[in-house]
Order: sequence, then structure tokens, then C-alpha cells
Amino acid sequence: MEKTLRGIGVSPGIAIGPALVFDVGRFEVPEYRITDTKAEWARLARAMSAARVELEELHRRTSKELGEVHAGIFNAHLMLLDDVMVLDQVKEQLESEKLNIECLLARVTRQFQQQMEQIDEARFRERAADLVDVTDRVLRHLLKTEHPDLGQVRTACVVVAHDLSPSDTVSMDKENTVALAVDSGNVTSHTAILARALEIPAVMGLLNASNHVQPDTMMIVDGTLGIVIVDPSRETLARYEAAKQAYSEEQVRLRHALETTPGKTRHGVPIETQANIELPIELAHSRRAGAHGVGLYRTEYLFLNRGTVPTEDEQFEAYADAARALVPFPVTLRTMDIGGDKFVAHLQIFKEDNPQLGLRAVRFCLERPDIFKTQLRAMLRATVHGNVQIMFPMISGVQQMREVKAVLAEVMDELREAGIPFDAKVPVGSMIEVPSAVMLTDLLAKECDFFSIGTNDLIQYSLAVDRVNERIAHLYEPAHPAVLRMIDMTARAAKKAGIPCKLCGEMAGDPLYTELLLGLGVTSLSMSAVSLPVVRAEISRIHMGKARKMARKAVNLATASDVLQLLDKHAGERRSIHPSARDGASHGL
Amino acid sequence: MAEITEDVLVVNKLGIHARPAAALVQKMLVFQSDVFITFEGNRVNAKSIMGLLTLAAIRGSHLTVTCTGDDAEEAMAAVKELFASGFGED
Repeated sequence: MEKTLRGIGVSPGIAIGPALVFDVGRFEVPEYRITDTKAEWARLARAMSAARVELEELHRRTSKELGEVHAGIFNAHLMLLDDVMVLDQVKEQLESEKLNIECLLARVTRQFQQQMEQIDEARFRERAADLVDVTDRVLRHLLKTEHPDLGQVRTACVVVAHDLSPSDTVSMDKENTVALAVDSGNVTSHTAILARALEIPAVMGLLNASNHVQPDTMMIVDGTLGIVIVDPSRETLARYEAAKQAYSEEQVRLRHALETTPGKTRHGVPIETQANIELPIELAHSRRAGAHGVGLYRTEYLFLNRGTVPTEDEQFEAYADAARALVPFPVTLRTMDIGGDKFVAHLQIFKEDNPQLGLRAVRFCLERPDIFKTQLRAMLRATVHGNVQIMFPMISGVQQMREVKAVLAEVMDELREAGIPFDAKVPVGSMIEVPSAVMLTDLLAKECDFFSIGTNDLIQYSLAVDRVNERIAHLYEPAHPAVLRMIDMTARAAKKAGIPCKLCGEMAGDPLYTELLLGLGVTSLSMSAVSLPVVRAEISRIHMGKARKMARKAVNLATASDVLQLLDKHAGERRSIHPSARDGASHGL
Repeated sequence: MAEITEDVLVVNKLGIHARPAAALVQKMLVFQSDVFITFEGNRVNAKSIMGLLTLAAIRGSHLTVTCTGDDAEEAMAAVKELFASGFGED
């Protein structure tokens, strides 16, 4: 029977296919007596070298596809594979107890894991899961159990899993995997990043979908709305087949149209449309989609999924690569937005009750000037390799903007002294995503070369809604009149000061809001590369005069539904690309 | 064959977490000597990341290091240098 599951849409698009239930399962480790300890030890050595070959291959592949930063985890695994204390204890017990090697290896690993789990502080604990991952790999070789491999999928399928480890995700068959439906995870998970980079529709945070799905059950994954439909009825299937068809035709049509409509309004006013990116692989996507550069380079991805802080050189390479790839267009590097929902085990020291209001983004950076200055040095060094801009997240007032600029000036002095070249005129901007900053935009504008409105956080903070909390997620309304007034106020202040007012939240990628945003005075939209064609097409239909009039009307409306009604009326000629675009809009997609 | 025992102090802010542990192991693997670290009654091999992590040695911990082998002196010098430098952290 048809069943609809709701999760978080982490990569847009619609896909339909039979389920491949990816179950790594637990395997039984047998226990039996042995006599030849030498032969037993040799078995372990063989299994370890097989595991080593796999890990080296995973490292090589990840490094090539996603960059060295993401491959680091496999270096850690290689070190754990050879851990001398683990092996010594296994050997000791092998001699004294004469039991089979699998049983001893599993036992020693469990002891270490238990010992680690008793430690209070997360930073000492983080390697326990890695040790278990590595041991499982060796055990599977010893027991000759096959790890289900996503690398060789015979037919197109929807991968359904409770969890996908970095190893699983990297080795996925990218041709035949049409969509992902995963119980755990969220937008910042490794799997989510990869799905977006590969343009595979994906829904995560489904809680326990993998328990309910039988292999080969027909599945629909709507990565735009975050919906998964299991065993759809014939009518639903037909409806989604059509929607999928329309979606891909629209994508093709838009891509084609893109070449003839380079992001200009009906009367030829050029509007900058840029891409938000996280991974090196997305630079190519954004160029293919005709982006005018990158409006948001989320640098925290350099810091996630690894055990250490990336070095200055590592960061410099990443920033300079992006700058060079995009010339003459700009790359807007956002300093790390760590904390909040982006938990990084090796940096996060205290558990916070309320991380969204806690030590995150520039607050964290000002607390850890060592990490902050290293990042700024790397960014400044990249300025001579292309058209670089720097922006700071979570700025809440003028004082804070001055503080981060003082650190930037300090770093510039250090570089000057060291004779390292950089562009001292690099444009520096503030993200506008905290309501207090909006109230001060007239004053903040004097400290900034540009504003960039981050609608995701601005909506969350203005409406006091945690959108991950499903019980109140319906209160997360991008069309809320208060949100529109915030954008209005910011755009006016920017215009008065003569600086650009960009916008880089999810609203930028939703064509429903394009006319409204331009009408309010937003000068540049930055979005996920997949949304560029549809937003560009929308821009080509916009008449700026009408857009401004509509925006004035909108800011004076009383409720979000009034605003949505107005938008609908205006979007009359806009072709719907989605069966329930309105629905998506009200969910903040 | 020499055996040397000395105390070292953890000075870096975050203590001996994954990165310093990995750095210490990588350095120690170069030496032929056995290197063991004792802290709060727990004795671990300094060539083992898992061992080092189970110490949960935070800033201010006094650890006892024992190096045994022909290059014990060099190994001890390397251990002391790493701890004194705070593993390149602050």
C-alpha cells in the first residue's frame, strides 16, 4: 500500500525506481579453539593487507573526486589499521587463549571502544567509531562476508539505507544510483554534500524508512520537497512520472534557453545570478550552468568530516583553485560558519543547550583567533589568483564587524611584513542574517563593501522558528511579511550607501520569489547550481517596474498567505515546473 | 640497552586528542625503542593512537614517559620536544 514518508530534501529533483535496501547488517563472529597460532596470525596479516589495499584505493578515489580534505579520514583509518596496541593485545590473547583470530580482534576492539565511550570529552571519543569501521573491514575479509557494494549496481535503483558511511558513499555507482533515501543525516552530512555535487535527488532524516522498505519495492524520491513515496499507487506513479518528465524537459529547455537569456530582465537589465558551492566538483557545475561566479563558498566543508583543522596551505589551495576556475567572475568566500547545526567534533569543545544561538560563525572565530587568522591568511593569499571577495557570517552589529575587520587588517599587516602578495582592496562584506544587523544596516553599510542576505538564518531568527523541529516547521515562512520588511530595509540601506545587496539563501533559488526579491531591490541572487536555469528563465520574464510595484504591495500585506496569493497572481504566466510548487514554497524550499 | 624515564606536561589547550596522538605515533614509529606512557595508573604504548586516546590526557596532565632501546635518548628528546611545542597547537 502506498505510504508517504517525510524527511529533509537535501538534493533536488525527482527520481523513480526500485529500492535497493542497503543493509550493512551485523555479522556473527564465531569463537573456536585453534592449535596453530602462527597460521592464525598469518590469516590476520592477509586480511589486513587486503583492507589496506581497499583503504588506499578509497583514499585515492576520494582525493580525486572530492579533494584531499575529504580523503583525510581514510588516512586516519590506515593508521588505526596498524595500531600497535590493538595488535599487541590480539597477539597476546592469541598465545594465551588459542582462540580464532576474528573472535580476539572483535573482543579487543570492543574493549577499546568501551574504554573510549566512558571518556567525557567528545574529542577523545571521536576515533572509536573509526576503529570499529576499520575492524569490521578486516573482519569481513577474515570471515569472507561480503560488504554489500554500492559500486556495482546492476540496474537503476533508489538506494535506501539507515546510514551511509563515507566509504559507502564514495564507492557508490554514480550511473545507476538514481536517488538516495537515508534514515539518518541532514543537509550537512557527507552523503548530502555528495548527492548535491552529483545532482542525484536525495532525502535524508527519514528516521526509520529502511525498516519499512522491502527490496525492489517501487519508490518515488522527491528531493525538492523532501518526500519519499513507498509502493505508490498507479495514479501517484503516473502523476510523478509526468512530473519527472516535465522536470527534466524543463531542465533541458532551461539549459538551452540559458545560452540566449544570460540573466537579463525583459527589458535587458542584467541581474547577477551566482552559485552556492561546497565542493571542488561543484565549480564545474556552476560554470556549466552559466553562473556569474560563486556568491557563497561555504568554507566549513573544509573543516568537516576530518580529525584536524586544515592547514593554511590546504585552505589556500582550495580557495585559489576556486578563484582561478571562475575568473573573471568572483568567488565570495565566507569565513567558516562552524557551530550551530554544523558540529565539528575536533573544534566543538562545549555542548551547548542552544547551539543556534551559541558560539558559532564569527563568534567562534573571534574566540579562536588562531584558526580564524589562518583562514583569513589563506583567503588573502588567494586574492592574487582571481576575483576574490570575503564575507563574514552571523554579524550581529557594528562593533562585531569592526572587530573582524581589525583581525583582517592585522593579518594583512603580517602578510605585508612577510612580503607575501595579496590584494589589499579585496571587497569585504557582511552577511545579513541576524535581525539586529538588519536594524543597523544603515550604519553597517559604512563598514561594508557589500551585503549578502542569508535568508535561511534570517527567517529562523526573525520568526524564532527552528525549521528542523517538525512540529513547528510550518511556521517557517519565507513569505512572512516581517521577513519581506527585513529584506526591504536591508536593500534600501544598501542602495543609499551605494553598495550591492546580494541574497544567498534558499529563497534565491525559488522562482516563486524572484520577482519579489528583485522588486525589493536585491541586486544579485546566489543559489544552488541546479536552480540557476529556472531562476534565470524567470528573470527573463520580469519587468522591473512591475516588480517594484508588486514588492511595495507585498510589504504592506498582513499575512504570509496574502503574500503567496499575490505572488501566485503575478506568476500567472510562469509555467509551473513542479506539481506542488506552492507547497514547496510554503515549506521554505 | 638504555632505559630512560622522564615526566612531561601536556601544555596544549585541547590535550592529547586525535591529532596530537597521530602526530606522536608518527614520530615514535621512526624509533626502534619501546616508548610507553603512564598516566593515572594507565600504561599505554606511545606508538598506538588508540592507547594514547584512552589516556584522555587534558591540558595540565603530568605523564610519565619511559623509553627502552638503543635510541632511547633520541626518542625521549623527540617526545619532550613534541609535548613542549604543544603539538603545534596553542
